[in-house]
Amino acid sequence: MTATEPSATDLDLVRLAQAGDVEAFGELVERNRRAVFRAALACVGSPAEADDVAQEAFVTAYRKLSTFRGEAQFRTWLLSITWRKAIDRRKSVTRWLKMTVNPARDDSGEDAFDQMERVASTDRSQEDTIVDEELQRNVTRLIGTLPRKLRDALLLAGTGEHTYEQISRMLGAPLGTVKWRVSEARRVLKKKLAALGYAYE
Amino acid sequence: MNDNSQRIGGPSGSRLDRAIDRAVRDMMHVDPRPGFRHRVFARLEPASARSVVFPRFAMVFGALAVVLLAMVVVIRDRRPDAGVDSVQHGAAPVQTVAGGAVTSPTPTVTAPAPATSSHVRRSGDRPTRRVTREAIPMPRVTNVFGTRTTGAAAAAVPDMDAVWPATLPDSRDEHASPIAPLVIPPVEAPAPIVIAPLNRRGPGL
Repeated sequence: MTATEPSATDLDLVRLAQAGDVEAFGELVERNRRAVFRAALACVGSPAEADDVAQEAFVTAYRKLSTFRGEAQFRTWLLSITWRKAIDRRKSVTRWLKMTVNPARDDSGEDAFDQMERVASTDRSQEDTIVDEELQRNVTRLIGTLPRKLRDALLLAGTGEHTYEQISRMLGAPLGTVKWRVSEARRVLKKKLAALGYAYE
Repeated sequence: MNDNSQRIGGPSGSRLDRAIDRAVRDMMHVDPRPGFRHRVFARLEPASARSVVFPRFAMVFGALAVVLLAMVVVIRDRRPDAGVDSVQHGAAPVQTVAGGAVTSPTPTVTAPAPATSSHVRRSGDRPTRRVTREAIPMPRVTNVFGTRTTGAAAAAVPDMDAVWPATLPDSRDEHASPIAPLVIPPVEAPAPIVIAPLNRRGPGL
């Protein structure tokens, strides 16, 4: 079994990496980089910081690879490390100072959550597009105002890379609690959008 | 790719639900910049190099510490002791003070013994005193109170001048006069106490 074989599972690659195969760890990085990056992004809100946190998570995972016993999935273990790193980054004093001086701005100069807004529809009227864009901007802004527990669950559920079980392990909350938080986040958002004049359906 | 976009409460959803889904998707469906793997490995290399560099720095600092310590020891050894020029050699007459007889030893000024070891004077240094390292022998005290006489006597210590020389050579003053030996007169025995008998014929007695 070699790292280049496509049929190699994450566990196989971990065993190879534990034996000193650096290429095997590189393959693990490739397979999990998106999930790790998006998990970090859901927490810190900035792609630049999420990239940094994701790198740190992989470095930590590499150093602690010998402690991984294979009882859980490698990705679940890796995401737990990633979430702890992201939380530490979010709580860091330097980040707080940075946010205080230059609130909600990352290195590119754009708002942390605004930067993720993209892709306008091209098949609709200009007016509809403008209305929808305004709605999207409001939704994005209101997501940033949600309580952290609700926002984290909502964003992690929307990455497309994490199962509810993985999110439950990352957040350290029961599965039912995670699902409730996602539902509650949506309810709060719709209530706030209704207060802005959008029809609450 | 796992899709958790199926909303709780129904797949069709309202306009707001769709807007929320779209906003979350736009926020989270982001990939890291190209070269992520390279950046991760770049972080791994300094960590491993650090583990090699640190012992090297530790060795360098350890060597420097040893050199500094050696320099401190050498400098301390070379520094002359203040007030100590040399230790006299040769025995002076024993001074015994007993009873009323006082024998004053002849003041002798012995030439300072050559230093057994002396440091090398470097050019430009101020004149330094010789430092001898000859051990000063401790006297063997035989009778602190001297011979048994009627009077008290000072301690009789053989080779007293070896311990406390009659003269203290002073390199600064070569013509210093010798110090007279200390003479302690003997203590006279007290007069016997005579108690006169009482007069029993006194009143009231």
